[in-house]
Amino acid sequence: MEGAVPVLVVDDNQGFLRAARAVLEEAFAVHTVENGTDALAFLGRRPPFADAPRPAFIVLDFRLPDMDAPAVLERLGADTELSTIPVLVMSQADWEEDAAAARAAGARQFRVKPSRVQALREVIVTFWEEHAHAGARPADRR
Amino acid sequence: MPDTAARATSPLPPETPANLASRARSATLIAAAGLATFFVFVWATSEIFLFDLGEVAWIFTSLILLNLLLAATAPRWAGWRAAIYVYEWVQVIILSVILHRLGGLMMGTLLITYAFPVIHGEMLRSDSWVFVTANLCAACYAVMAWVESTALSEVRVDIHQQVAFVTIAFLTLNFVALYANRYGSQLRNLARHLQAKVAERTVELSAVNAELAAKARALEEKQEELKSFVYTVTHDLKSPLSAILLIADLLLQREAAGLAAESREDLERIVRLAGGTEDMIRDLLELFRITSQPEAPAWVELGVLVEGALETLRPQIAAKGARVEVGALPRVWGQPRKLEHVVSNLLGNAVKYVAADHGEITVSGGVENGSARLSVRDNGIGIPPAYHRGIFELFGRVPGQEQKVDDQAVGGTGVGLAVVKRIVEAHEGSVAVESRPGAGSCFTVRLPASGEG
Repeated sequence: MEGAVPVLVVDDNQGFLRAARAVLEEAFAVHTVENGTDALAFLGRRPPFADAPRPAFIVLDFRLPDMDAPAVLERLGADTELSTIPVLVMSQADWEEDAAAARAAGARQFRVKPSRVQALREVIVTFWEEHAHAGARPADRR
Repeated sequence: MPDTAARATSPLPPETPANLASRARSATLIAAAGLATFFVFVWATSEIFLFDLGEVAWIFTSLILLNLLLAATAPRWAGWRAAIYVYEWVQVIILSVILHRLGGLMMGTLLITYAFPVIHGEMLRSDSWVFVTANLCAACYAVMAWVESTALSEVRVDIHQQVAFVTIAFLTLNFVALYANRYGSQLRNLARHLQAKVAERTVELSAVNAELAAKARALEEKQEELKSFVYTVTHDLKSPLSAILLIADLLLQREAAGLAAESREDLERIVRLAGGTEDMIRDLLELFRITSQPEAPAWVELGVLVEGALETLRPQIAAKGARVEVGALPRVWGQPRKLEHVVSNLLGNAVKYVAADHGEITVSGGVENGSARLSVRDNGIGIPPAYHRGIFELFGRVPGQEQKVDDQAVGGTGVGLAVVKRIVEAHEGSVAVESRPGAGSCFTVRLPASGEG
């Protein structure tokens, strides 16, 4: 979507990516990757993501095949520029330890993944409004 | 001697230097006190018995000072066996000199004074040498009798009587030694026996402690393993399920207009079924989390827990227009968060199963026969007796078609009461239900009124 706010969704579950894309495409330019290594390459604009945009925020699955969310967040935190991107960590379970680990590593929010489209939309849009809504605005929702 | 024999047969620990020193110190202090008392007695009665104080005063004084000096230096010499006997025997001889100067055998009670060095020797060192001390005392007595023989004859104590006195002295003092030795060795055996027992128990106790620590570690590892298992299962089961739900839901929303009624129903069925399974996984996870979380016990006011749960349930209670009555509730010793879960679960169920606008929920409690009781009674749909046992089992619930409130089927996963049962039983309590279809239900939880539940 031309001119729309870019968002990065990192999740190894293609079903979730499919739903997230459907929910977010109304308002954002959605980019998806399926593991932590690709997410870091995307954000660092390394091939094959050499001309990737800087996302306004990131939706990050807690459990990725190659690393977990705190590991990704720590790498982001080491980069002064990337560390300012708000990250919403989503997980299948609300384990307190996971939530604490994600927050400690720099996540703005930790949420259980909703299983309904409406709830998913609400969680992400609310996050956008609370944490990433500085200056940039998502394209008008249909 | 019995004492040495006992030492040889049982593996008793030897006395410590500190032990020996403390014994030597108390013995020399007692000797100094005894001598001082004797000296005061002699001084006080010198007019009556015509004692010549001038001759004995300096001997008394030096002997008392010697004992005090020895008491002060006890740790230096207490471990040296020969020193003790030299000390004891020198003292016997000096005592004899004092007694002789004071009038010797003329004092009928002299013999008793010799019992002291014997007992004293026993106090200092318990072994057969105490008999040597006793016989040295008797020998001194004999020497005194021999030296004073002429004077004794003058007061009509003839040579036969003198020999009899000396014989009695030998016999009496040896018996004193025997008694002292037996008594002392018994005491010391008992003390050593106790010491050995304590040492033995200490070893046993530390072995048991080590075993307990190992078990706790193993348990912790198992717990960790189980946790990672549940974690994995949760993610791997829930991930695809939630994706199915999202996509089905997406399809329903996007194609709402274009779908045939039958397809729409099928999609809705998928969402419903997958949603039920997802709820089950969520509750199962909750069950694991609640029951496995370690929590320190504390005093818990059941009234406070009920109040909190009602506060959380307020929207549901208001929506149903149910009346809730709460009586006085006891306090129990238990894990606060887990008990909170029990209370909110029972109240949540009560609210869920009463009919709109007619709901009456009564919470009551008390302490009966040493156990605290909490009852949650409702006038809801009730539970057929056939399910009274099953509802406390994991995933056990009354089938949907038999569970209609206001003509609506009530959903649930059959985990809630299973968690209640587990928590209550972990507190060494019990949970029971009384109910008939249409006549409401009463769930009663009993917990130990106090103790480390």
